[in-house]
Amino acid sequence: MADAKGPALCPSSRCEEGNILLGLVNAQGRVDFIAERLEIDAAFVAAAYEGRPPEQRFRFSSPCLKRGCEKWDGERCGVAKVLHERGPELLANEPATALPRCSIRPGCRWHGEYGDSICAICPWVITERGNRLEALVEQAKTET
Amino acid sequence: MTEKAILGANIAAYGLAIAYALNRKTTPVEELIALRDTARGIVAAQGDLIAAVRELETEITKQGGSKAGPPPADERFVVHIEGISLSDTLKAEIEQALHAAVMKEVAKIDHGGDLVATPLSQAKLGPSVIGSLFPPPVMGLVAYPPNLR
Repeated sequence: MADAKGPALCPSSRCEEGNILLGLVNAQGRVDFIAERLEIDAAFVAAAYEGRPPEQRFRFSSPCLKRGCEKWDGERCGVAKVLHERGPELLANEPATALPRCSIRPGCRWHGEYGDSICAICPWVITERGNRLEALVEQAKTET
Repeated sequence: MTEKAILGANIAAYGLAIAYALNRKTTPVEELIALRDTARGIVAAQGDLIAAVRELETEITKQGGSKAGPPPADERFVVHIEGISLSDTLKAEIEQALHAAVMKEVAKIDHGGDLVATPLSQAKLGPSVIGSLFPPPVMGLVAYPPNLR
């Protein structure tokens, strides 16, 4: 599951220096993945926090913290488990697409636990969803 | 269509001619210069071929001419400076500065896709994973403070 070089990678992490930029949330609410591994630096983090929370706009990856993360259920990632159990049913009406090009798949925690099937659900995952009302208030503030 | 195919074939053949001339070692410099000038002319005549292909793909898809989906986007940023010579160190610095500039612009991207309803966002998967709007659900790494681990 893990890279030969290190621990398993969480594919839904925070915007912090040294983490990997996995992809961007597109206008359709899905993630467009970046094919090559792209580590973010302090300048990227600073620029990203000037806008809405970066976890609402991007997906990041970092080493899985296991029990250091509230999503860890004691044996595996709780998020991946729910996605694996409910994802196929929820996305049943969505057209099948090719697996996204992903820079962390060989070391990904979710892929390691559930294989390629979770990669079909992964693009629908947004780490932190924004609040539409708050977004409209923010937009109004910037326009006035 | 045929004309375009022939043009493409000529360019490929010209690339082969250059490779052959370079490998031959005995190719006179005049011939190398001629090859270079012709190659430059061919490259300059292409314009922004990558953008043109992208627009063609869009138009073909719009007209229903393509059964396959569009290829994954592949953005490329090029700065072409002709006529000056730069040291490897300076080139590396420029490369790094370009990368930083691109990443800074990428960091500003906000398509608002997280505000769009999707099958996953509308599902009741439990407040700790996904579904509720307030507080915003977090899918992924949430580190406990060290004293709570």
